[in-house]
Amino acid sequence: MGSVIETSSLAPPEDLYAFEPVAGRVAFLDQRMRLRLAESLGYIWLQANGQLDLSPDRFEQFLIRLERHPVPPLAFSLYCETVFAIEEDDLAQAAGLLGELTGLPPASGLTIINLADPRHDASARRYASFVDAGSGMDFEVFPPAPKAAASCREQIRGAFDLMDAGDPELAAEIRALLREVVLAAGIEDPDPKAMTFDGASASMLWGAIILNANRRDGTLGMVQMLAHESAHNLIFGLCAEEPLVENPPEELYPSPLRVDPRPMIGIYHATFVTARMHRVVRRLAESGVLPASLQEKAGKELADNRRLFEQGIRVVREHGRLTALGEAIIRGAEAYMASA
Amino acid sequence: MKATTKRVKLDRSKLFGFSQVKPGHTDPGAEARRAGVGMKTVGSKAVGIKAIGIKTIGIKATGIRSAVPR
Repeated sequence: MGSVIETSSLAPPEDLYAFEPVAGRVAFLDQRMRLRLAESLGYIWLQANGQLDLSPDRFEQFLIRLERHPVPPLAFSLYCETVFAIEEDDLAQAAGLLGELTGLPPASGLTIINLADPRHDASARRYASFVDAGSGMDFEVFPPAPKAAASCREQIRGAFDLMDAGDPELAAEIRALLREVVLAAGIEDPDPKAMTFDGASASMLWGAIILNANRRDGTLGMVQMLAHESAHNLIFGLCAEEPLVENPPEELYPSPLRVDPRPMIGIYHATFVTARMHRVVRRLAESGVLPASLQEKAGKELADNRRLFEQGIRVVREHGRLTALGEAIIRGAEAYMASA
Repeated sequence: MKATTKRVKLDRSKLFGFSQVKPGHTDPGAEARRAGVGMKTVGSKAVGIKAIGIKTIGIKATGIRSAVPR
């Protein structure tokens, strides 16, 4: 069962590694992600050699569709689970997962959905499994309350309105990158030091971000959240075929965005997305679209993001062993911050 | 009872997302693919903490498996 398109035949756009938003490159990234997924699924099928209880026609038709059309983010997590199931020698489970995968509808446009209850819904459990911060800080994830979800949708709408007016390039790139915004809820603990999740994205949920619908930092906060999470997705797409850093994950360093030390790849991501957050706030502030009520907040956010970026880039430059790809991407963020 | 010999053998180096996984780690993309988990204190405005968290987790056939956090 071979691929009809070779990933090596895809021509990357010239501005693939640009720091500035470029919606046009996302089509390349998305197709490369899907082709790599199709290649791996084809390999799995060949290795299984008829031991997976699934119609070959149905599987082949799906691979053809996968190579040609965008798919929902869950396609990547279903593939990931399939590999684990096969490695556990649970071929019935693997076949069931592939059945689910091949039954996914094509994706089109950006949709906002409410997380279902992970206790009863397998897809919701998949999304929730990615909201996991590590270092022993695990978060419970719940369906959002209707009022919180409605408020969050309003913030997202307001955020896109602001970006459409003041930063249309980023708005277009985010719409190209994201297929799903999943609204969920974290714990509402009365203890102000209790930890809750803020947002999440993962390469095995390519095209999805998960937001805590209980967030209360308003439209400008939502603009930054969308810039932040979409930037993670952008990096996931850019590093689909090669790593960004060579530091082993056991090496831990101070993080600009987290109280506990993190691996270099986490510092790298945090540093890049912080620059993207700075960029969108600056662009909106300079474009004159921010109401007076948000201008003071914008100034504070710019200062905070610059401070966090400087903390992060210092660690990256001092300790990071970057690949050529990693260097190419972070250099753009550094150049932007130097000029801003 | 599961067979001691796997019926389907997969070479991770040929699998998208798994090829960069270091020996001993189970999760594709490991830390990298979880770079996008942000968290904060419920009262983060007062405390002033922003955070990005990443963790290796995988999903077993029976449900969700959390690997040892680093």
